Amino acid sequence: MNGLMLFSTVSEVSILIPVAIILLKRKYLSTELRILTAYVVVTLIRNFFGVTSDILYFAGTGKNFNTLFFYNWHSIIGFYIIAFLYFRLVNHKYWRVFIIVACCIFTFFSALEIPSGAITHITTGSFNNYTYTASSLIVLVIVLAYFYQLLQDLKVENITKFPYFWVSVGLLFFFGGNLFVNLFLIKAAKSTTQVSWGIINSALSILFHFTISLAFWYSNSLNNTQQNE
Amino acid sequence: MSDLQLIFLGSSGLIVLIIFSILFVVYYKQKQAEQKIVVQELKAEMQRQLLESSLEVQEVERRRIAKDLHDEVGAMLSVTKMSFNQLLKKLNTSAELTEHGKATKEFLEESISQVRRISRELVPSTLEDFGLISAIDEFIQKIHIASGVLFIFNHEGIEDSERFDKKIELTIYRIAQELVNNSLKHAEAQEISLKLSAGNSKLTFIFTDNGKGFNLQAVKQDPKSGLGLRNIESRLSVVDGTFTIKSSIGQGTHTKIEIPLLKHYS
Repeated sequence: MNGLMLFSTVSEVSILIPVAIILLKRKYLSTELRILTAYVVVTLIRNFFGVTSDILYFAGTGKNFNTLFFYNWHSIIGFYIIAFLYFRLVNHKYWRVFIIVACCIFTFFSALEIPSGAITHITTGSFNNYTYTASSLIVLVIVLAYFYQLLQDLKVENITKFPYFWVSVGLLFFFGGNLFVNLFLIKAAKSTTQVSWGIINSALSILFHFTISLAFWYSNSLNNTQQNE
Repeated sequence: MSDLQLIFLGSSGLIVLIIFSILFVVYYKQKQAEQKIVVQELKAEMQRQLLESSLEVQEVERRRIAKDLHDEVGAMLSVTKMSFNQLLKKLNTSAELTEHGKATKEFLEESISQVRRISRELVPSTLEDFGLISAIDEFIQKIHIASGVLFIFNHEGIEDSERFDKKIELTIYRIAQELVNNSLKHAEAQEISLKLSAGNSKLTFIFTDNGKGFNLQAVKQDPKSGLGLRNIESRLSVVDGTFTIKSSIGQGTHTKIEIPLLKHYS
C-alpha cells in the first residue's frame, strides 16, 4: 500500500513539470494554451491537497485527510476547461454545438452526484464514478473530432511540434486509458481492483503531465505555424 | 477480475492508444506529402498556362506591330516616294540637285524594303499559310543570302505541306530562329544543319552548327547569357517539350528538341 501511495504521490508531484515549462515559456503562450494553463493550475491545487495528505500519512501523524472531494471537483472543473479549450480549437459549427450539448449533459450527470454528497461534503468518501466516465467519453469524442479536423485541414507544417497535437495525445491517453479501466472497474467493483486502478491512474497521470509539458514546450513553434498559415 | 488482469488490460488499452497516435502521425505526414505534390502540380500547371498566355500576347503584339508597320509606315513611305518622284521630275534644272534627289530616292526605297522585311519577320505568314517546313526553308534561304552561311535542312518522312498543331509549329519556328541567330551572332558558324523528324508520337528537331561553341555551365549560371536558353526552355514547357544541348569550346553546338505529338497532333 505504501508503494502505491508513493507512486501516487510521484504522479501528483509530476504536475510541477508542466508548471515549470509554463513559467519558462510564458511569453509564447497562446489563448488556448492559457486555457490549458488554467487546467494545470486547477490540477496543481488538487494535487497540493493530495500531496499534503500523503506527507501527513507518511509522517505517521495520523492527521492525513480524505482528498476525494477535491478529485471530484477537479474532474468537473477540468472537464469544463477542456471543453472550452476544444470549443475554441474546432472549426466546424456542428462540433461546437456538440460541445455545448455535451456540457449540458455533463452538468446533468454532475447534478446526479449531489445526493451522494460527492461534491457537497468535504469529507466525502464517494467517488463521482459516473460523472468521471461521462467526461472521459465526451473528451474522447471531442479529441477524435479534433484529430479528424487536423487531417482534413493539413495546415500544420510539423505535427510532432504542434502543441495541440500533444494536448490531444495526452488527453487521449489519460481519458482513454481511464475510461477503459473504469468500464471494468464498474463491472467488477472489488477492493483489490481499486489498487490496480490506482497504479494505472497514476501512470496515466504522469504520461499526461509529460505530454502537456511537450505542448507547452512547443508553444513557440505554434507562433511560427500560425504565421505560416 | 484479478489485479494482474486489470493491469494487463489497462496496459493493452494504453498500447492501442499509443499505436493509434503513431499511426495518426504517419498517416498525417503521408497525406501532407500527397497534398504537397498536388499543390506543386497545380503551381506548375498555372505557371505553364501563364507562360502560354504571355507567349500568345507576345504573338498578338508582334502581329499588331507588323500590321501597323506594313499598313501605316509602309503606306506613308510609298506615298512619300511617289510625291518625291513628282518633285524629282521638276529638279532637272540643276545637276547637283538631281544627284541628291536620286540618292534620297534610293534611301526611300531602302526604307520601304526594310519596313516590309521587318513586318514579314515579325509575323511568319509563311508558317501560317504553308506550314513549318516551308517557313524554316524560307527563313534559312534568307539568312543564307544575307550571310553566306551554308544550311543543310533535312526533313525526311515529313511532307512539305504536312501540318502540326499551331503551337508546336510556332514553338519550333521561334526556337529555330533563336538557335540560328545564336550561331551567327555568338558562334560565328559557317555551316548549320537542321533535322526535323516525326515518329514514336513525337516531333524531333536536331540543330547542329560548326561554330566556336561555348561553356554550357558558365552560360547557364550567367543570368544575361543564359536568357536565350531560358527562352527556349519556357517555350518548350508550354508544349511539354524537352531539350538537350551539348557544346564545348571549339566543338560547335548540338541541340536536340523533342515535343510529344499525342495531345497536339492535328
